[in-house]
Amino acid sequence: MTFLLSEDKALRDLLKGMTVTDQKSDASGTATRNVGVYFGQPDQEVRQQAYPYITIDMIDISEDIQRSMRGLVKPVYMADPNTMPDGSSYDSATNDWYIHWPIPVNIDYQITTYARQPRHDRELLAQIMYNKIPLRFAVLEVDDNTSQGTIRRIDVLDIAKRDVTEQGKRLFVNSFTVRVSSEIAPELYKSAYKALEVVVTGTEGTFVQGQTQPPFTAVDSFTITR
Amino acid sequence: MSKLKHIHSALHQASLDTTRVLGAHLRSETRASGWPHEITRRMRVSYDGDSFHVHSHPGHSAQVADLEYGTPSTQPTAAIRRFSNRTHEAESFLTGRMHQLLGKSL
Repeated sequence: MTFLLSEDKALRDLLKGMTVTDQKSDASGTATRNVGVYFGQPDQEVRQQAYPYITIDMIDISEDIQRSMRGLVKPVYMADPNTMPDGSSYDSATNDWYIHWPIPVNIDYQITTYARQPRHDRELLAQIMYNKIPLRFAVLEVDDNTSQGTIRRIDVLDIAKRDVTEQGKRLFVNSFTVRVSSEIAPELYKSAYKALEVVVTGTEGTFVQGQTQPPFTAVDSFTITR
Repeated sequence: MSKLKHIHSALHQASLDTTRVLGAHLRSETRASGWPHEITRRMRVSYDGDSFHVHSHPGHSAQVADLEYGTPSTQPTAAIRRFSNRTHEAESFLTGRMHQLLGKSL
């Protein structure tokens, strides 16, 4: 998981694969046109030939105070370190690690759709709102198919219709503002020693709180031997 | 005047006072985003008794929308949306002003 790069890639992957149809694509009106997804505006030469298309712009990163926590944690979705803080190699048999709770942040993106035809515009709106980023319970799979994959919230904050006339031609534009939950993890892992062998001693025949059967045998002491 | 009316009145007055803090923050955010000075200096925040609203000069509406959301040839700068994500300072001011006003009247 790489902060920002992973979210960018996941959002682009989510939006990729959309198609639109129209009478011009073939006589039956069933052939499809692929919808390109770009980070920021593509070159004008590409744009002119590629309508409809979608752009992604990252517009803000802000700390999410409501999700903030203090303490120590070992997130299961984070990879083991290669080296320990003292420079020695990490060995999962004898070492363990933890970090301070990652700082939760929100990443706000603007997703903008551009289309020359009203039908394409409506198809894009429908696909995004119905399949890709519904107003409720939308999720973003970040780094999927790996042990470090996470599933994030993606909230629609705003949808703005921004149709314009460009060089005498209609251009249908929609701007979606969406929020992806993320976090910034501290880079420094803290090392912990694993308890490899614990010896527990009990007194035979002594029971806890008047119980007369196991498993309520009283424990005299326990020792971590290594 | 009942206590509830005192609280309503203090909240209303504190909210009106907070618009100055929010307005300064808004102009600071738009300036930092590189918006033209002529547009920035005429932006303000108002309170209508229910919620806060961002205003620009009516003659600048189209330009403000283009700067905020971008155009087919320019990237969005999103100063207003960034501004709305950072209201902690104004919230603290509002709370402090409420305490001040209620301390006087109750």
